[in-house]
Amino acid sequence: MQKKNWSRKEWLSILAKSDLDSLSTLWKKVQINAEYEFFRKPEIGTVMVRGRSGGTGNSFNLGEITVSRCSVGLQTGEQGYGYIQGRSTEGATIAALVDAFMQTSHKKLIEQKILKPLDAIHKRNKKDLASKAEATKVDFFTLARKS
Amino acid sequence: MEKSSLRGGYTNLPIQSSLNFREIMMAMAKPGEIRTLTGGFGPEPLSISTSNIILTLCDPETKISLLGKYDREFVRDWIVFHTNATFSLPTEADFVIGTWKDIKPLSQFKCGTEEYPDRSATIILETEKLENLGVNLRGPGIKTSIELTIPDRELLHFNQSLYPMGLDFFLCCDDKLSGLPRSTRLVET
Repeated sequence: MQKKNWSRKEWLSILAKSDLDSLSTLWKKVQINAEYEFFRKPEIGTVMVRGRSGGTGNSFNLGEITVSRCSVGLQTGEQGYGYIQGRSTEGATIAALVDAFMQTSHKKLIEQKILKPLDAIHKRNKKDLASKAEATKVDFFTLARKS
Repeated sequence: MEKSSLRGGYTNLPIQSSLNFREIMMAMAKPGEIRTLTGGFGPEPLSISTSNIILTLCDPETKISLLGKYDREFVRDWIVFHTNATFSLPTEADFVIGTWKDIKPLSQFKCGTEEYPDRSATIILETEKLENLGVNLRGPGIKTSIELTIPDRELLHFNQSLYPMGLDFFLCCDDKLSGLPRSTRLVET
């Protein structure tokens, strides 16, 4: 399946949900020599995740998750921002670099070699989780009671 | 967005911000003494000392007002990126950044109230010259008296007329900084 061009929002979303292992493995394979500087050194913090009951109800605070973030600037001027789940300064740096290089001529290469595989991993994980949940689904039937 | 406009944040945030906080605090405690701030730097036209005050003191709860040539998109971007501070009208600002020409009239800023004189603005005044030469100052934190270049005597007269309400000033030039709290008076000759 050929995916259309990703928007920045989409590729940042993919990166944010990635785990360090797959991200760093894929990044090493790409081998872009990066000349960059940090605008914000990698740092670890928490963000509050909010949810809606049933996906449509009132929003509530689900809980905090750890997040690592980082901002880099390339020598050519592009700025990259990386936010990634979990405590991983390395992952945040890679995510920021990927974001920065997605704005350069390396875009095609990165889409093919990093974003596509990551997206595939996410889809597979989501499917696995969904099928596991599906197996335990219980349908409730309500009988109308006559008094 | 302008190229590399976000450079200049702290590379070692806990250490650098603590050191600068100490310097800024001492500057207010000992008015007229000239101190140096290092570590961070902002985009032109922000001076090094002003940039460091912003990096050290500003956070999402401080309202900043940029005046004159400082009110530029890339200056705002830099401040928001590094501090998440918000911007407001001069009349509501906690921190005001500008030159002497930009900030008049002084009465437009928050000067506190009789009950809460601390609810006032701090003016970060960019000057072209800052040395221990000029008008003679006295007051708390000054042993006998100290000379300092200030843009205008009006600044001191204004604070004197309002005390305990009033404005606190940081005079900034390059990486140099001097505090001028509302308690500082002119030595009458």
